[in-house]
Amino acid sequence: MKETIDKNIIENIKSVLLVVLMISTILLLYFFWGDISLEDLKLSDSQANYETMDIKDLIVPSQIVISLGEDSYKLAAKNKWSEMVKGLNEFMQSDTLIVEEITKEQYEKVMKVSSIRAKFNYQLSLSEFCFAYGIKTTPAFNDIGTISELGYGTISKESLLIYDSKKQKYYRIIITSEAKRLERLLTSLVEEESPIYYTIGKYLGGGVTNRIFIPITLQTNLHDFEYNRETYSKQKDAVSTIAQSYFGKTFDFIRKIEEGNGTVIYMYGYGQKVLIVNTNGVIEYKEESTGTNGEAGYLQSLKTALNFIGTHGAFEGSNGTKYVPYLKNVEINFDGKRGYRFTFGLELNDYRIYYQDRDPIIIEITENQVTYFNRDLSEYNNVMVEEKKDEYEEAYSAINMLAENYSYFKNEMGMTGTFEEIANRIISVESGYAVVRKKDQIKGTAKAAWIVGFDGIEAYFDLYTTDPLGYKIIE
Amino acid sequence: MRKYMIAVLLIVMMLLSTVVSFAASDSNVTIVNPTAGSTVYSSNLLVSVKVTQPKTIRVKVTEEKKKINDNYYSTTIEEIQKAEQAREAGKTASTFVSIPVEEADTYVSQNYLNFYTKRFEKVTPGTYKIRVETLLNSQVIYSSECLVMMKEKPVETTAAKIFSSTQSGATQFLQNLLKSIFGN
Repeated sequence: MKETIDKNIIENIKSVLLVVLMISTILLLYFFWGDISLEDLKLSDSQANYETMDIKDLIVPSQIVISLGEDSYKLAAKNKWSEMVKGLNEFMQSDTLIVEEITKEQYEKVMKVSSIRAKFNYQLSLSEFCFAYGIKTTPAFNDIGTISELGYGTISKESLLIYDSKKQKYYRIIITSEAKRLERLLTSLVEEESPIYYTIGKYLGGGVTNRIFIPITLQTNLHDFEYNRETYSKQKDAVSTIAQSYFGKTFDFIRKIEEGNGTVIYMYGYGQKVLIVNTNGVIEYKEESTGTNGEAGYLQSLKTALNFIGTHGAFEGSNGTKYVPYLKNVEINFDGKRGYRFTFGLELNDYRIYYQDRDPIIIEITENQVTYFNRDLSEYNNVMVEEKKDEYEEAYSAINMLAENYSYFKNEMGMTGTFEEIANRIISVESGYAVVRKKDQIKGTAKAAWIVGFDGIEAYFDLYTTDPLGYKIIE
Repeated sequence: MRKYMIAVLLIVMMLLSTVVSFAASDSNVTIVNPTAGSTVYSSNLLVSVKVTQPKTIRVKVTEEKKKINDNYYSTTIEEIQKAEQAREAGKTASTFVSIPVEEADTYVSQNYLNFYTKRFEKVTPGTYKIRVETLLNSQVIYSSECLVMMKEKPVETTAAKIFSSTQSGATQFLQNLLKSIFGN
């Protein structure tokens, strides 16, 4: 009897051992064949201490334009966007939402007089926009492509107007119930004291039809400040910490190459993952696409991008310098790849920073996998930024900034034609910061500037003296 | 004696040419906005003057009123132009007075391309004259002017007028309804 019991116990132990062995075999195969590091199973410190940005904070318009009629405009403060979203939300609560295509003339007739419109400088579909903000949608929205402008005018209170610059089409969404929020917002913004803008065509007359608007006068608190590029490459420990955030703490199967000029390269396998920490502080990360993650949509890819950026320094300089990011550009199915290339810009004190060399954060997502990441952040002199925050000065007249740089446009930038012809080609005029520098320059001054955009070219002029600072050809 | 006569003649000719230039407008100074004879439906007026040489200019904006006895009345561009033509033909014409909207502005352009720009706010309906004078040593050497009519904003065109040519709401509603039932 006892012998039988012992035999049973031994058999049971054997069975348990077999199960354990089998599980161990499966796990080991999973780790080795699945290309998974044990590090991946535990959260690193850097991952535990970051907050990923909400997509909503990035899907914001570049401008909110208030039309006053007679080609005069105001720009609403950026914080008014949340109120506009509430208005859009109320608008879409209507029981019936009818979508129809309209003509450019109809769109302009409504927008020309008392109206409000948000202008986006990247492509985003209406459905994705509504999804990101939790706004009600209908299948009819699928007829509308991407939104470049979202507008509302008091002339047609039952309509929400949409402009799709990609397809050059105009739409309106008609509601049957009453929505008052957008109207109230528009009324309050019209009454608010803020600079008046006119179209370039209005200042120049005779044949200039450009509808880009510039202010008559502008009081601004933009002031120059000094910056340093992040200089990890000078600190071995810092470089190592950065590399750990990409490859895990143990550096399993990682090769480290130090080039003569100080650039450090970390490589996993035969180049499946490569991290380059350049001497000028620029970090580049490349990863081979595994092609196993399946296709991801716009918002999912953006979320993946934000998660990745969050774990790798976020939008902060290494000394704690904080910037407010914005989505500057989105390329869909770039360079023949299926996916998204997101370019992020940075803001400081509500003003955008324009870089003569490369945009600070570029990330590519292919099939929901990060395949490229470029980070080029600077640490700014916080004292310089803070101490003059409340000092307002009058900027150089925008129209005279253009007029007085006519010879610069022609002689330095190689543009041809009369001043009026060149003015007709302008696609943006904005005040902000300009960082004009050479590729390897590690410190300098961000200048308060007028930024003038043409198709494929961007020029910078001192905001207070109008002296040319430089220009860049946009590829 | 003959030499003196020629010298006097030359001086008189020079003086006369100056008189002519007083009346002439400066080819390097152009009123770009508002367009002469136009009507602006707004209570604000943007004045834009293009200057293509280093110059000093003075810009005056006045409201034109018709004077009858000691009373001032609103007038029109046509009325002012007709009165000018009548005066040129030696006929009697109505009297007009210019009431300054603001003190005249003096603007110095130091480049070969500059713009004087100013927005005049709370402009009441009426006929306005924009006069631009080119100054040299504080003397007016050229001048040009333009008349503009300011009117109140008209009642905004209704949405029905704008969207009348597009598809009817009912048809569109049906289309959308079908789409929501059967998808795209």
